[in-house]
Order: sequence, then structure tokens, then C-alpha cells
Amino acid sequence: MAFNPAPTSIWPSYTSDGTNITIPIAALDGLTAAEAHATTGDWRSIMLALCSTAYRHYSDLLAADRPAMFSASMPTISPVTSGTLAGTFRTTYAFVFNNEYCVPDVADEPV
Amino acid sequence: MNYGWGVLPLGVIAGETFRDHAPHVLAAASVYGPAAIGGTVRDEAPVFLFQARAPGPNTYKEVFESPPSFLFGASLPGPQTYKAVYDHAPVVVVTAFSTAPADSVISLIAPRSVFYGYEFDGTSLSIPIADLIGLSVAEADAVTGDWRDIFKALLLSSTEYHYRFQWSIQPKTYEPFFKDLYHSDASTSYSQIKFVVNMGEPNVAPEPQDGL
Repeated sequence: MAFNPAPTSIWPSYTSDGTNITIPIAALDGLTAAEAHATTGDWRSIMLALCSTAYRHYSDLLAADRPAMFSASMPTISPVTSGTLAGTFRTTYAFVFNNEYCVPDVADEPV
Repeated sequence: MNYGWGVLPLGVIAGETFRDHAPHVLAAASVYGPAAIGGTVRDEAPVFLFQARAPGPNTYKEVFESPPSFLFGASLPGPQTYKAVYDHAPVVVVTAFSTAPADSVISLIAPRSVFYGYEFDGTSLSIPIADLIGLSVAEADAVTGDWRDIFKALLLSSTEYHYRFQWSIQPKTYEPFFKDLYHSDASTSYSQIKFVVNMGEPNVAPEPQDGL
């Protein structure tokens, strides 16, 4: 096999109608309906679920099926021992994207 | 029309501009105390972001006429004011009104404050492609698109949102970093996000089996 970039490969039942992207929360690790609520939810939780899902999906791929132009590192977890956040844990996700280079155009001279 | 405490209609936020509703006065209280801010919203100000955070009765804001959008914040009690204008903030975000019903305001951590057209139907979340930086319709296609582009756009959009705010009011439980490194014929985007999370009670790991 080879890398499958289709969005449905990482988020089953993902759809796009050309205007919106739609992702079932069941496809996002740990995300609850309360967290996903538009006005009372928490976008940080959505991002955490997206990062967790992306890493899990990447790490589950066989080496031959992994993308070369994207990589995800194993998240690190460290306890927070001081300050107002003491007692919590800091989880760090890191992702690298290799992009095509867009040739810049010289800007128009100011009028 | 006078929008007083806690009467900002949610409908203003849902895909519409403030201009559509022609509000004239806002008054909001910080979540941190009884500070009040009031601003005059002109017809030409279609959208803005309105933020007060400090205790104290003397902070105030005025939304100016020309810029299309605003980030408007007060960092100190008293007459000190801070304001910054941003180019693309097509939504109103207001911190908690002191007496507002919970559903009449949108907080800075609400998904719709990042992705302005965000919707959730109880099962799926939906985000306009237009709200995602750099994402094209082709890249978003379910079958022929590329989830890496979608994910990158989500990371970039949330990072951009985070850094609109003064450091003092940025979420401390979310530290995004996104950087493009350019080479001769390509570029690399590096994204790192730190989340501060609560963990459940840790479980003692099972003892290793004999002989393992």
C-alpha cells in the first residue's frame, strides 16, 4: 500500500460540500458533545482531539503507508509542579509539514 | 438600539456582522470583576472583537468607524486603555456579561470564537472552509482531498486566533507554535502545541509476568 491522503482515511464519515467540512465527533479522540458545542464548548478540546487523532492515525500506519511529507512526533507529557497550573500535566504535540514552495511575486510599487 | 448588559443577541455572531443589526452601544463586564466597558459601534464597523478583563469601574472602549474589524481590550483598571486593530476578525466576541444568560454570549474559548461559522449538531462539527487559513475546496474534498492540508489549516487557524490576544489574556493551557521555514525550493511548516490537561487518578501499572 501507499499513503492515503483522503480525509476519510483519518476521520471516517468526514464530508465536505465545497463550503464546509464536517467531522463526526466520534472520529475525534475523546471529544465530547459538550466540548464541541458551538458557544459553550471549548476549541482547545477540539484541537487536543484533532492532535491526538492525527498522531494516533500517523503512528498506526505501517511504515510503508506513512506520508513522507508529514510527520507526527510522539507526544510528551510532563507534570506541572508549580504556579497556578500545578497539579496538571502538559502534553506537547509536534507536527512537521513539508510544503511546496510558492514563488513570491514582487509587490506592486506604491502609487 | 441600545444593547445593555447581557442582551447581545447570539444571532449577531452566527455568520452575520454587527452592522446587520446596527447596534449602537455595548456594555460588558469582565469575567474577572465588575469592570464595565462601553463602546459606540458605528454603522461602518461590521465586526469587532470586544474584550475587557480587569476589575475596576473606569475602563471604557470606543469602536472606531473606519477599520473593518477590531480587537478591543482593556488590561488595567482605570483610564488606561489598549486597543489593536486586526484585519480579519469577522465576528463579535464578548466576554461574559455579568447578568447574561449563558447562551447569549460567546466566550473566548467557544469554538465559534475561533471558527466563526462553526456549527455543531450534536453528532458532527462543521467548519466553513473559508474559516480555515489556506484551505482550498479541492484539498477539503472527502475522497480526493488531503487530510494533512485540512489539519494544517486547523492548526494554523487556531494558532493565529491565539496570538491575536495580548499575552496576559491568552489561554495558559494552550500554547501553539507554528512556523514556516523556507528553503530554496520548498518550505517546511513546523507546528507544536502544548496542552495543559488534567489527568484522572493514575492507575498502578500491572506487575510484570514471571519470566518477562
